Amino acid sequence: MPVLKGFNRIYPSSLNTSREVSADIIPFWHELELAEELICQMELCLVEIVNNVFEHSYHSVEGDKLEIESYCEQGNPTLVVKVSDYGTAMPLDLLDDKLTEEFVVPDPEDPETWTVSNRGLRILQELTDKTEYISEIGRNTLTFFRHTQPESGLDK
Amino acid sequence: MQYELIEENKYTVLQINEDRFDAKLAPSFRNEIDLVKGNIAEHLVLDLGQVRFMDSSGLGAVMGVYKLLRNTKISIVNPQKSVQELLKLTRIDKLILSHATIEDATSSK
Repeated sequence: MPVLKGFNRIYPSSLNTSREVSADIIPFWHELELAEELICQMELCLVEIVNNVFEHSYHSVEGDKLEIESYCEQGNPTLVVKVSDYGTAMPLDLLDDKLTEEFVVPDPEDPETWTVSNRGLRILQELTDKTEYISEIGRNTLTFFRHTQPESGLDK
Repeated sequence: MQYELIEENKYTVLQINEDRFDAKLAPSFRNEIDLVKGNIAEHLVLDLGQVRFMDSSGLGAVMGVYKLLRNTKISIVNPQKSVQELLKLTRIDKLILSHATIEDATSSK
């Protein structure tokens, strides 16, 4: 599939990395002429994954390597975003489970429903069309895909 | 965290003067709430008008306050579109109501 221009940068892991990534990648997505609403949603997905990597793959250790790649496929225009790390891999069933769960509707009478874990992965499920996770030779890559045209029926 | 605390008789307004309410801001938000929780009235109004971006960590911090201040009514005012959509997406809008203004929030039942 032909690819338009791409974004590829490496960052040291920290609590601030998601802010740095956002500041760098949003101008690139504007260059791709993506809709503002789509950019906001993709920024949220990317921030969730970058923070997830820092917290879970690198156990909140600063300075480890994190790579961000993004490009747009032509034809059936799709934005592709990849986040790679070299830390602890996510259990594959965790991602599968979380990506198929629905959000719990918080019940004022049930505190168990107020604070739930892995809300970020569920956000990813809601705002993307497809997610892939590959862990091989010490490198973990989470990729998400989102069609860029609302008329494709993916007007989320 | 940059914020302003406005104390009225029946409500307290916590205005978050930050562009991003995210994983980086969440710990300081929790710390500040711990410091001021004794001064919070029966209704806490979170003014998020300046917050352009919120992630699940920011949302988790707000929910943490909801849990911490169990006998306090909590409202959100003036959320930007992206924050409104996050609240809706995660169904938190069913638990914490949003209002356009402080007056709307404080006059609602």
